[in-house]
Amino acid sequence: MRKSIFLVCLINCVLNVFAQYDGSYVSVSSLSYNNEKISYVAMARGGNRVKAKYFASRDFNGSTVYQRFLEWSKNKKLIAISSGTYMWPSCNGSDPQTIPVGLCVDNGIPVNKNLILNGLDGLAVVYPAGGGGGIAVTNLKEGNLKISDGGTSTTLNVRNSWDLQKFITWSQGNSATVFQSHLFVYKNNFLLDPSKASGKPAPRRVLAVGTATDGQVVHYIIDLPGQNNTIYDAAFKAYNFLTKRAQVNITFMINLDTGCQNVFQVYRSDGSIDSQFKGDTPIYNAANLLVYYFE
Amino acid sequence: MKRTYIFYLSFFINVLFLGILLYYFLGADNKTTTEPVDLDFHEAKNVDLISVLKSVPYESISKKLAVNDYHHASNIHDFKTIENDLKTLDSLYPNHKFDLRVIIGSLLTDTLHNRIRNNFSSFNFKELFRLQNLLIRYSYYSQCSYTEENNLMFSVIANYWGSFIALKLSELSKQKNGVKFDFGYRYLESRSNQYRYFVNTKVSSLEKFIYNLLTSNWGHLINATWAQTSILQKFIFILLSLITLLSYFLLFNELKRKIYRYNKN
Repeated sequence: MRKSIFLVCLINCVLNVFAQYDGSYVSVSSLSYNNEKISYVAMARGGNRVKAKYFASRDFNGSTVYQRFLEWSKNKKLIAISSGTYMWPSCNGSDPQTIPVGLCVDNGIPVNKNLILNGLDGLAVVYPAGGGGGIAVTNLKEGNLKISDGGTSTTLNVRNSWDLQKFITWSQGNSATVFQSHLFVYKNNFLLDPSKASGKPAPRRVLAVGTATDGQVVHYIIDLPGQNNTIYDAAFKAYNFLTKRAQVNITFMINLDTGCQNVFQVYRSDGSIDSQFKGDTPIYNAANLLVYYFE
Repeated sequence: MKRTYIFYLSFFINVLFLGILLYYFLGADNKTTTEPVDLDFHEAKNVDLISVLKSVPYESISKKLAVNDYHHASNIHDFKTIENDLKTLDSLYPNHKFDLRVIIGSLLTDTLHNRIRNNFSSFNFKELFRLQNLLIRYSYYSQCSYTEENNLMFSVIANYWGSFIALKLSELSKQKNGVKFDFGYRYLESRSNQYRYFVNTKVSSLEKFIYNLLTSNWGHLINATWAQTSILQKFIFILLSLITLLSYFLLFNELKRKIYRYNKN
């Protein structure tokens, strides 16, 4: 009996040593909320151990997003992977013409310089691992994007051509990754106008960042796998869930496209894939990927 | 006899359905832009900045240049000339280096845009082509200049027109589905994409459906089709499937009967 207990403890210790990530930073759940299945991954950013990485499109060598991800993810402790922003004209990762909609810079390289001013109000900046690996989102309508260049902090209104150019130059110089998406919630205010959002029912997913009751910054990926949610329904349900149940003060909430590029994978702390989180599209067809990992 | 009628009727419905599909694609507006276009603003005149701005106060530069159509002048289509113009402005109005570039930049973006705003109510290949040449020219200028301020100004102008053309083309494709089949449109679209200002050309639901069918994106196809179609559409789909099955069943039966008779005789 003693030997068995010792063996179990030993296995547990070995598993913890070789675990993919520290489970205390990540909380994963799939539950029923207001008669709706909601799955979420909550990642605490305390100490900047949980980081984000975004693969916007193929690189200039022709490597697909999946190939880039495979190369990059060697020895990385993965937490969650999801498709990111909208793609055009298709969602097929092997199609070289597939490009993110709106302004997009991938690791300092401009992919799409076409800033969309109507509709996609969320401009997300994913900082490189050396810069904290966090995600910041600005509301384009407010025009107060704060960047820090060489210790000098500047506020830019990227709707203005000169500030937009400065921002693109800054993101190139700082190897930042930038993409645009629908902004649902900003500074705890629900912004989505139901008349302007897509009324098509589909599975939906959102990315939200906020502050928990203990003051910690938490990143949430909330998945609504049901087939009957319009963008508005999903955003509102996620907003209610976060503010009422999770008691989070939301900094921003943006859309993660599911449509024809619904990639979603969540890893347990031991590195195995959690099968309760699943997208329709296999990861090798990914057209763009938002990855959370532990360092 | 009745079976033959049903066979012909179901076959006719199938042919009709395929005909509608074919008409949708082949009957689309395939007009092409064939008229020759000017390669550039060859007819533009040169503006001599020194004589135009003689004794003009700093506050009135923008107005004076706009009155003299500087944004249409040949000066802006030659790298050396515009660089020299900027040097001239720097010498005429010292200590305003950045602001002078903002003035020239705004002349070549907002002022020029206001002057030509009414030319884009429909697909105007010639005007868009000219603007695209301006974008390409300035994106190269932005890599050639030695001064950071000039680089920034050239990039701003290129970026302004790059975004404008991409958004205009997207807007036009939303207004009129057939415009995307125009070769002029396709040419502008591909050049815009080449310079990383991607055009979101409208893709209809049917085109998306066919694309997903061809690329075997079954998961999305089944989910989207089931979730996004109305009960009537589902009913029509099931009805058409049944009619197709029935017509094939009757066709094979008919063939079987004929082969049997032929063998018997």
